[in-house]
Amino acid sequence: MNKKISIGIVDYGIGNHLSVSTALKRVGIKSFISSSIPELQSADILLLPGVGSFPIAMHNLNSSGLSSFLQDQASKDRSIIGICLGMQLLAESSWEVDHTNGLGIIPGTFISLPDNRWHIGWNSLDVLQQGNLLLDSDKQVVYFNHSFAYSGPEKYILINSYIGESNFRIPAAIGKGKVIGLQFHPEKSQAAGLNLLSNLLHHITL
Amino acid sequence: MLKKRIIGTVLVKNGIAVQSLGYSRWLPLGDPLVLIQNLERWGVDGITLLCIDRGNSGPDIALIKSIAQMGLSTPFSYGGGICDHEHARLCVNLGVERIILDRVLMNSYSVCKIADTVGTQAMIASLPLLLDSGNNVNHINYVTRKKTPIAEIMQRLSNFRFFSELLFIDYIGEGFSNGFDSRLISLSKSFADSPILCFGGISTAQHIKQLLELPQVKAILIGNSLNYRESSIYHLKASLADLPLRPHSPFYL
Repeated sequence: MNKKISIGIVDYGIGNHLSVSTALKRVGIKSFISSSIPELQSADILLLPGVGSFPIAMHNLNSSGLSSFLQDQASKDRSIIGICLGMQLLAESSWEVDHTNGLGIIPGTFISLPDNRWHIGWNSLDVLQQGNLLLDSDKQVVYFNHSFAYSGPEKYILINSYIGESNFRIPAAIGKGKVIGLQFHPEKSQAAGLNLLSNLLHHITL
Repeated sequence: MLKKRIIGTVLVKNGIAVQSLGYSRWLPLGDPLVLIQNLERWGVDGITLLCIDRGNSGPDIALIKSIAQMGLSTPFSYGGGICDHEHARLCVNLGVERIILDRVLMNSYSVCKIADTVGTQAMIASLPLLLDSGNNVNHINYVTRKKTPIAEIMQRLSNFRFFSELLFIDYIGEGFSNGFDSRLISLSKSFADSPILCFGGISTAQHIKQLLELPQVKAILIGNSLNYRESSIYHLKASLADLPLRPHSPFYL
């Protein structure tokens, strides 16, 4: 891979932007953090990180104009990657706190895990055939920290993970075209996560 | 399947990493940044930083910023001095995955605001506990030394649903080999059915196995003993191969 790619990390007031940008630096990928639409337009790939609450995140995106910008970029086939809450924001809606509309880029919604559980810790990835960009990470163990999970058409699910004695399925990655969401934190999953992130970023624009 | 975790823990007092002995004596270990770097390199499943002298003065933002600049690629939790949602937001924005709350636990308004800001998956309730002479589990306020039966604490924690995990700290056993008393868990079961993390006097593989085999226990936090030997995590995980743990993965990048 020869082309140097530039990642624009979308700053919407909450999220672990610094963790993501230092992780990218560790794998030799240049990035910048910005809330400025003109600046973000210059990036090869937009990255939407997120740690926090869905309603507050959407409020921030809407009030800053970043929602329309991201929706517009998705419609123009730009590469966008969402991480954790960032993945959830890509969907049509979430039921966290109250029903809140998301960016609507990937069909589906986010609903509470059964018994209001949380999915916290390291879990392994079961990469599906449609997740071909991520096949090298099949069976790798990565870090999750969330309590809402994707519910939507199967064709948008790229990777699954499983929890509990009943093997309850949790979509670990979703995607539509060049927009991909990762429910886990690759930037906090040591070598397994950084390798996945590097691989994905280098291939998503191809 | 979801793995159980071995989390390396660094206690900081007056800006120095310390080895704690029963919450009353502290031996200096050195620069917390060095210890944290080591823990990541050795491949722990998580890193927790507990600043034990913050009181109401807020989190140690300068230290958290220094850690953020190191660029940790390991899940990182912080406790010490977090009193409101602004403190929580600052910590999370600087790369803290999960915050550990103690003094603010009984303040329902603050806990609710914190949950709205950072999400419940980011919140851990810290509960220093001890057994009394009648084998009853009591919460102990480490500032006032006041003891309260755990049943009463759980009832008062009406905002309990905001905490994704409970950190049970063995107040008496902390700092001593095999100090953590598993009865703190078995005797609390009817009052607290949330996932539990254990801390305080946990070091040997046998003791870790005993605790991690309990269904409710999702992780153990180890402080002092991990610093004695670089290959501690490797040897621990090798001895615990029959537990659902992440395979040993030293992290060099």
